[in-house]
Amino acid sequence: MSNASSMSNASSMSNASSMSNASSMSNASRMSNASSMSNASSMSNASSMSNASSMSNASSMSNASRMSNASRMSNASRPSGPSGPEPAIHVEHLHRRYGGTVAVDDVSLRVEPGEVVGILGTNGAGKTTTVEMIAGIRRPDRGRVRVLGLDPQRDRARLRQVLGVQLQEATLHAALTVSELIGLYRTFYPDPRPAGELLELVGLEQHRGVRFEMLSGGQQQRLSIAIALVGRPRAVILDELTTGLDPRARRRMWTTVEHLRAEGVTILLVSHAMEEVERLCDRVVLLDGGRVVATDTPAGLVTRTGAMTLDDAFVALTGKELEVAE
Amino acid sequence: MSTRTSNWTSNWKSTRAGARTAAARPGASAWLNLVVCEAKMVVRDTAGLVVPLVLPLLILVMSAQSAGDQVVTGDLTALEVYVLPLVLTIVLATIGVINMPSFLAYYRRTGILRRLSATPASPLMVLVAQVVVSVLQAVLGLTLALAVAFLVFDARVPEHLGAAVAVYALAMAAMYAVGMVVAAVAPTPSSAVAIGLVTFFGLGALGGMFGGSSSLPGPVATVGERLPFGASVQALGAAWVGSPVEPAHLISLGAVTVAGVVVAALFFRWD
Repeated sequence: MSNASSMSNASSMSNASSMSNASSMSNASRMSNASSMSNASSMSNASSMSNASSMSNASSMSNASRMSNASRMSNASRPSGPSGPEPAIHVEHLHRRYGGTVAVDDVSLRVEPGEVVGILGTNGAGKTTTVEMIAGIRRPDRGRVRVLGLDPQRDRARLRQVLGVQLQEATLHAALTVSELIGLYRTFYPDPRPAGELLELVGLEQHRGVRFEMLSGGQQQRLSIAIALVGRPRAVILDELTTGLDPRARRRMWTTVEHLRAEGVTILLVSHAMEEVERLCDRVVLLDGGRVVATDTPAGLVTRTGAMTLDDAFVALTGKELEVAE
Repeated sequence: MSTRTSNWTSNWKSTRAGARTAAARPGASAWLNLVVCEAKMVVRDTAGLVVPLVLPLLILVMSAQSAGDQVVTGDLTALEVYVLPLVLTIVLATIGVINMPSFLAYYRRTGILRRLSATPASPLMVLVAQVVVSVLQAVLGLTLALAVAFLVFDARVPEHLGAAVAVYALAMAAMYAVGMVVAAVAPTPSSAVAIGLVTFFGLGALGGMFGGSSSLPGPVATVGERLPFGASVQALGAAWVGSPVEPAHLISLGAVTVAGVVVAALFFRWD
C-alpha cells in the first residue's frame, strides 16, 4: 500500500518535470522563431549597411515567424495534408452542455480511413458524449460531424448501415440467447455477416444457447461487440472496449480489434486503459475537461512530453492520474 | 503497410458510393423476428405471464358458479352480463397497463432502446412488436377464459357477437394506450410496475371490479363508467345481452386511446 502511494508520488514528480517539458515545447518553437529572426537580421545586416536595413529586418523577421507558425499549424492539425482522402470521421468544433455543465468544449478530430484512433481521458472528460454525438445518438449544441461522408443527424438512416456502434452501459434483451440476439440484429442489415463468423470472431461459439443474462461480464461485452459488427460496418465506435474484462478476455478483445484493422475497418475506440491504447491505436486524442489536450501517436505523445511512458505523458498533459481500468 | 493503403482507398471509394445509395429499412423478416423475440421475452418472464392468464381465470372460476345461477334477463345470467365482461377486461388491463409498460421501461433502463437506435432498426419497432405480442397475449387470455366459461360453466355466446368483438378491440386499444402513458412517464422498471398496478386498481375499483358499479356512489360510478375499465365492462355487458352499446362508452374508449397515444408520443423518452 505504502509502495503504491510512493510510486504514485514518484510518477507525479516525474509529471511535474515533464509538465515543464511540455511547456518547453512552446519555448522550443519560440527559440526557432528567434533563431530565424537572428538569421534574417544577420543576412540583411550582411547585405546592406544602410538605414533601410532596419526596415528589411522587420519584414524578414515577420516573414520568418509567419512561416514557422504556418508549418507548425499544419503539422499539428492535419498529418495527411489537405490533398489526402476525405477522413472517415471528421469532427469540427463540437460543443455539448448538460444544464450548466459543459461536457464537450470545442472538440475537433479526424480519423482517416482504416485508422485506429483512441479517445483517452479520465471519467467525465467528455469521451462518451463525444462518441455519442459522432454516432448520431446525441445531438451536438454546436459543431460539425461527418462520418463516412454522412451527417449523423440528417443522414441517420444511411449512417446506421455503415457505422457499427458498441455503447457503454447498453445491454441486450436479457432473456434471449446469444444465437437469438445475433439472429435478431442480423435481420436489421441488408448484408449481415454470418452468425458463425461473428461468434468465432469474439470467441462465443460455445455459448450460442446461453441467455444474455447468464453470460459473464466479459462474454456480454464480447457479444455486444459482435453485434456492433453484424452489418459489416466500414467504421466502428467502441466505447470502453475492455472495461470490466479480465486480462485474458481483454487480450482476446484486442486480437478482435486487430482483425478488424486488418480488414481495413476504421475504428474509434474510447478507453482509459493505456496499455490498450498503446497496443491498438495509430493515434490518440487526449480529452480533458471536454477539450482536446493533444492529438498524436502514442509514441509521439511520450516524446513530446519527454515522459518515459504514455501514462506519464498523460499526466503531463492533463495534470491528472488515469484511473486503473477496473 | 501497402495493404493498409489500398484498404484506405477502397474504403474511401465505397464510402462515396454508400453516401449516394438510399438506406434500406429493415424489412418484413426483421419485424417478424422482432415480434418472435419479444414473444420469447414475454413467455420467459413466467411470473409476468401468470397474472394476465391465470388471475382472470381464478376470478372466473370463483364467481362463475354463483353468478351462473342469478338470472338477469331472459336466459342470461350474471355470468354473461357481468362476470365475463369483467374477466375479459381484467385480461386486457393486466397486459396493457401492468405488463407491457414494465417491459418497455426495462428496455429503456437497460439501454436496449438506445442500442437499437444505433442500428438501422428504430426503437419504435420494439414498441410496435410489444403491442403485437400484447395483442396475441390478450387473445390467448380471452380464449382461455372463454373456453373455461363455455365448456365448464355453460356460458352463452354474446347476442351481438360482432359488437362484442368490436368493443373488445376498442377496449384493448384504450388499455394499451394507457399502458403507453405509464411506460412514457415511469422513470424505472419498478416504478412502471408500481404506477401500472395503482392505475390498474384505480381504474378497476371505479369500473366495478370489486362488487359491481351499482355499489359505488352515483357520481363515482358515472366517472368510473367513463374510464376505460368501466366503459369496457359496461359495453361488453351490453353486447352480451343484446342491448345497444351506449355511445358514451365507445366515445370514452376512443378518447382514451387517442389521448393516451398523444401523451405517450409527447413524453416518451428513449434513454
